[in-house]
Amino acid sequence: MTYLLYTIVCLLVVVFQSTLSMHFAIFGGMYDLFLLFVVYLGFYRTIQEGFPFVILFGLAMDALSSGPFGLYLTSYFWLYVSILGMTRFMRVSNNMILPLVVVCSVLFQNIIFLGTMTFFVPEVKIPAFFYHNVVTQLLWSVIMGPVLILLFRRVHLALEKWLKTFQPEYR
Amino acid sequence: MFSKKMIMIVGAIILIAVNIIILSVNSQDRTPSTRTGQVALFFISPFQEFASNGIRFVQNIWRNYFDLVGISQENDNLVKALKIANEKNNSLRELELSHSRLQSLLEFKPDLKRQVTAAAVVGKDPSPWLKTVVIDKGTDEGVQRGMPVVTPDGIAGLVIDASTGYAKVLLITDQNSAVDALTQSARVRGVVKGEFSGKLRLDYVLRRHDITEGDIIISSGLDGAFPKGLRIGYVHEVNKPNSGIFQEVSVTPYVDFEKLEEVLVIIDSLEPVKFSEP
Repeated sequence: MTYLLYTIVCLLVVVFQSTLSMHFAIFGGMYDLFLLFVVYLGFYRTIQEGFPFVILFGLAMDALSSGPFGLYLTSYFWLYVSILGMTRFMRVSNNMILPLVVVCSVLFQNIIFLGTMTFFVPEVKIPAFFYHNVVTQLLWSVIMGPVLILLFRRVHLALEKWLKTFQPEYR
Repeated sequence: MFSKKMIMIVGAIILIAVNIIILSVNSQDRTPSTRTGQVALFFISPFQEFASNGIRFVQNIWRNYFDLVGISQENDNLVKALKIANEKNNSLRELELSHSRLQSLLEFKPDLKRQVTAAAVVGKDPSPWLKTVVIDKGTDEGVQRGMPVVTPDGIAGLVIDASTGYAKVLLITDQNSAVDALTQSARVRGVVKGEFSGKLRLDYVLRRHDITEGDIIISSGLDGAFPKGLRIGYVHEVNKPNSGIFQEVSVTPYVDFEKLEEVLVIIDSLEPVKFSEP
C-alpha cells in the first residue's frame, strides 16, 4: 500500500511539474518537488522502503527530461545518501531543521544541474538570471517545503493506522 | 585488513568517479533515444495530457463564458488571421527575393506542399534549465525523431524522441539546439543556438558582414532538419568585439515559448535528421 501511495504521489508530482507550471506563470520558478519526497524518505522511512523509489524515480525523471541521462538520478541519490548520513548525527524528530535541509537540497540540486551542464559543455555559460531563479526556488522551498513534508507524513501515518484497523496483519 | 570505514570511503570515491564519468559521457550527446525515454513518455504523457486538457478546459470556460464572451472569440480569430497573414507575408517576401535572384533562370520549381500534423503541447521538461515539451502526437501519426516542429510564428524545435502516441520536442531555445540560418535581407549565414535565458544567438557570423537590429533570421535549409525560409526570430543586438573574427548577434525568437500550446510537425518536408544511435 505504501508503494502504491508513493507511486501516486510521484505521478502527481511529475504531472504538476510538467503541466501546471506550463499554464500558470506563478509556478514557473518552482523547485523540484521530488526533493521533498527524497527528504521525507531519508528522514522518516527505512532504507529498504526509500532507496528503490529514489532510484526508480530518478530514472523516470531522467527519461522524461532532456538533460544528460543520470542528472536527476545523481542529485536524488547523493541527496538521499547525505540525508541518511545526517540522520545518524541529528534528531529527525526536530522539525526545526527541516527548512534548512529543504533549502540545502534545492541548492544542492541546482549546483549539480548547472555544474554538469556548464562543466562538461564548455561553451555553455551560467545565465545571468541563474541567481534570481535559484533565489525564487529557495523562497518557494523554505515556505512550502517543510509544510508539505509534515503534511504528507501525517497523511501517511494516518493511512497506515487506518489500514491496520482493516488488516491486522498489515505491516 | 581494511576497516569498514575505509571500505565505505573507497566505495564512495569510486561511486563518485563513476557518476562523473557517466554524466560526462551523457553530456556530450543529449539526444539519444532510449527505451526508458519512450516507456516514460508512454506511461506518463497520458496523465500529462489529461491534466493539460483539464486545465485548458477550465481556462476556456473562464475565458469564453465569464470574460467577455464575444470579444474573446473575435480576438482569437483575429490573432489567428494575423498569424496566417504574417506567415503568408513572410512566404511572399521569400518568394520575391528568391524570384529576383533566380529570374535569369527559366526553370521554376513548384513550391513544396508540406504535409503537416497539428499537435497540442501536453507537458514540458520538469527542470527550468532545460527546454523541451511533450506533444500529443507520436509514431502512430507518423511523427518520427528528427522532424521539424513549427508554429505559424516560426520554428519551434525538433522531435528528439517519439513513442506511439507522444513525442518529445527539443525547443530551439534549448542550449543544446542549433539551426543553420540566414538573415533574410543580406543572406548572411550563421548558426542559431539556444541559450539558458530563452533567447537565441546567431553564431559564426563574420565581422565583415553587415547585420542590423531588426533583421529577420530564417532557416537556411542547409542543416537538413528544417525547410528553407522558415522564420526563426529577429536580431535585437549586434556586438562586434575588438578581437575575434565573429560578431556576437543576439536574436529574439518569434515564437512565444511561454505560451506554446499548439504546434505543427512537418512530416514530409525533408528526410528526418539521423541521430547517432546510443
